[in-house]
Amino acid sequence: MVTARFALLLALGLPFVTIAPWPVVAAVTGCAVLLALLDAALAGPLTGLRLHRDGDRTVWLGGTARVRLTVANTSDRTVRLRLRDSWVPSAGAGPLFHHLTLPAGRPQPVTTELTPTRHGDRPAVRVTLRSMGPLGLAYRQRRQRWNTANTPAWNLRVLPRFPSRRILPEKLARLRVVDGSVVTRGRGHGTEFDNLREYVIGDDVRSIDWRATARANDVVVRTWRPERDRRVFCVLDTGRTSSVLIGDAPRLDASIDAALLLAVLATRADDRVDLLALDAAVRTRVEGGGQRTKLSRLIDGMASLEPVLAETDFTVLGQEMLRRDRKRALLVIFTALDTAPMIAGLLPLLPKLTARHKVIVAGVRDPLVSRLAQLPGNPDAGDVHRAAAAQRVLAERDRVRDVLAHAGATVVDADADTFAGQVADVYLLLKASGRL
Amino acid sequence: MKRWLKAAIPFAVLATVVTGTLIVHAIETPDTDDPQFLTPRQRQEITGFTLAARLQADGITVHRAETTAEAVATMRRGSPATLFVTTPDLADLARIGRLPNGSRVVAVNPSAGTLRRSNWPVQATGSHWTTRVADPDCADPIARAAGPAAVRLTEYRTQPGATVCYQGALVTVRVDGYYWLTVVGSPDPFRDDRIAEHGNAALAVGLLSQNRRVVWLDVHERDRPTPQPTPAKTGIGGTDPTVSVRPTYTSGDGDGGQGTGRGDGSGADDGDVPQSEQRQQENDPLFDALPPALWATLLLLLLIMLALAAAYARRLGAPVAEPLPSRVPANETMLGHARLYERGRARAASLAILTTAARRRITTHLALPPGASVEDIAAQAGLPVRYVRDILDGHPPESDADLVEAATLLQNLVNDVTAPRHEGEQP
Repeated sequence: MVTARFALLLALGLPFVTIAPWPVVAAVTGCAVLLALLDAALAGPLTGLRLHRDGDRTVWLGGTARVRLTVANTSDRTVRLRLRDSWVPSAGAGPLFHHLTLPAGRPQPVTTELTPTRHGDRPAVRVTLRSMGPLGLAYRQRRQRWNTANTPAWNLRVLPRFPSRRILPEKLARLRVVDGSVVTRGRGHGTEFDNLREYVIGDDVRSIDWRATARANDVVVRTWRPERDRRVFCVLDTGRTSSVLIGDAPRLDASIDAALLLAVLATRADDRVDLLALDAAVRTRVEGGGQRTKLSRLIDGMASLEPVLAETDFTVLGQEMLRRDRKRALLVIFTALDTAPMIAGLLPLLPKLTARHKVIVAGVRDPLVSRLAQLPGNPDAGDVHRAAAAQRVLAERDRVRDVLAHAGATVVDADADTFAGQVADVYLLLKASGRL
Repeated sequence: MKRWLKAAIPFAVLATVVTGTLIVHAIETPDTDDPQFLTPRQRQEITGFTLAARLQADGITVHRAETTAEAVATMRRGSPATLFVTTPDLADLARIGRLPNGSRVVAVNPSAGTLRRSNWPVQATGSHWTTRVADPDCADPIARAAGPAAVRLTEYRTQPGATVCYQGALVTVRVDGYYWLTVVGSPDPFRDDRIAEHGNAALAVGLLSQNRRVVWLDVHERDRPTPQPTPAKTGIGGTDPTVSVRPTYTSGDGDGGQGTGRGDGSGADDGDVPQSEQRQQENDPLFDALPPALWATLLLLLLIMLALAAAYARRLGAPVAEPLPSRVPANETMLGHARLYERGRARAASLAILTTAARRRITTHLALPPGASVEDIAAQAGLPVRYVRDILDGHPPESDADLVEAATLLQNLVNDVTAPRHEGEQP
């Protein structure tokens, strides 16, 4: 195929047309076509190019990943290469185009920087190659199918946003207090005996084990720890209510954030964390496996979740959680406290669930509703009507909360910025009081 | 009424009037391909029966011919005659070249195009919307005898020395020294419904009675072979006088000198015929008028554009698509409810909802049972009973201002009750 330079070459003939019109046109066209054919013949072969990719495979949403594409020229001719590395649009890949001059046998890398805009899997789609002739008049380029087949596969897993990371240290500190490892604040709140150790100043004198002190030459205290190996089961609702935008992100993102914080905390507290994501069917399930790799598996499982426009079927949850071999667990259901799905979907199931498990129902609140429920500075009639509508929604949600609480569930209903923290607080409270 | 309609009405009326006039004019103007047009056989409005009858009454023989060839053949037989061409636009004028000496030709209202294609030295200079009456204004005895006549529809111009009457509407000229040609600008003097007006009858009869015979060419379909072979056939004829004249109309479009030279060549040499045809094909006026450099430049520009199109048509990799995530705007139902309340002016309903919510918050805050009375609330909150009752059990609002006031008071009450209390404020 020809380039714009070929057209420029033809345009160079324009001033000479007046000399001898038809011969000049014929000569210019003929020369240009000959040169273009020669150029295309001299362009390096595309079949000799070998592509190889390496670089980041995961990135947190909001971060930037670098993926390197190495192009090796195995032919014996120099290839002047134009290259386009195409990713899906939400991968935020750039720069799109690369210019390379590849001498024979010399590989060269090009780096694509990716700033994804959504979590989940972001695959590389196609590397399109174009070998330019030495004069830049013509080039060789193969069909899209060949380019797709020639592209080295790569998948960038974008992990969901985890803004509550910043409150993780505080929660972990509280967990350590609960755990009894920070002795200055008091003996551990747990009920399980942990071990004996030497007394240090600041320890509660009530925790001195006199019998052990008598045996040893030093004062020995008894430490306690909370129960371990409890089960925490995170249930993420990915149905239609999870696609509602809270601020500028869907509700599912806030749920994932809170679930991640809970998972990290519970893993540190040596509890087992499992994950179930469901709408009309089960989307993701992370269960069992080694404790050490569990957290990364959970994060991976949450990364690929997307809201689905379907009504959530809570009977699937019932089938999962009421199996005979299920042990008692802390069941945290991340959903929306909307009237219809809660009353018709979850409520009939709740008594059975609470009979075997400790159930927390957690829903993110839209801050807009609370804001509209308050009259602004200089209200007009429209503001009052909006406040009335918002109060109506709040009253409905309060009713749902009361009904759920009456059925035995603990309800967490908070704005997006404090949601994850409140869920973690409930977990820590249960942990400290040994009610898991 | 809308403004554009007001502006459009005068234009619409004007357009209707103009269109109507054009249609009426088109209907009223006789068509030359109408079989009745100036035919001597019957008497209608646009026929020429009266004229033929008068001619016969004067002792003139009228031969009717249906094709030009037949008319010319009739002319050649016997004494000199007058050829009356009623529809020169349809007749094959090229054949009229060979007429016996002393013949006359009367042509009725030939169009400018017909004259350009013929070898007659007459050109049309202009035409009128309808036929007008004019004075002869010339020395021609027939015209002078007829006086004013309705002939001014088309006006003609001819070479010097010819007779021009009725301000160009009647032209008599000698063609190549063989016959006299009279071109009449309007068919009106010959028509049955107009022949009695002005001096029409005298003029028509006078024009056609100069010879004792009239050949009435009554043709109403295009009586001419396709124009392409005609010059070749005439060219091969050789000795005929029209041959030298013939090519002048080919070159009549512009370049006179070139055309005359070519005409002479084709007339002299029979073998030149194929070349002449070829030249005629190449002789596209637009192609000849513009310099070849322009065409070459245009061709080159076209090639450049094609090359540019080809260069930009092939992308380096097609765009990639992916399914969009599902995102649902929040609170649509809530905002819809608010708009419905506003549209329906449901002030009482809105205020009732707000009052219920306020009551719930206050009772929760003051640790009272949900259905606590106003007196209990007032006592617990330390506020005047009447004040609390006015706010919580007020009248339904009459206007938007009432509603806003009531809602503001309600919110202030809730804020007062739930705000942290300072020491000493408790009564």
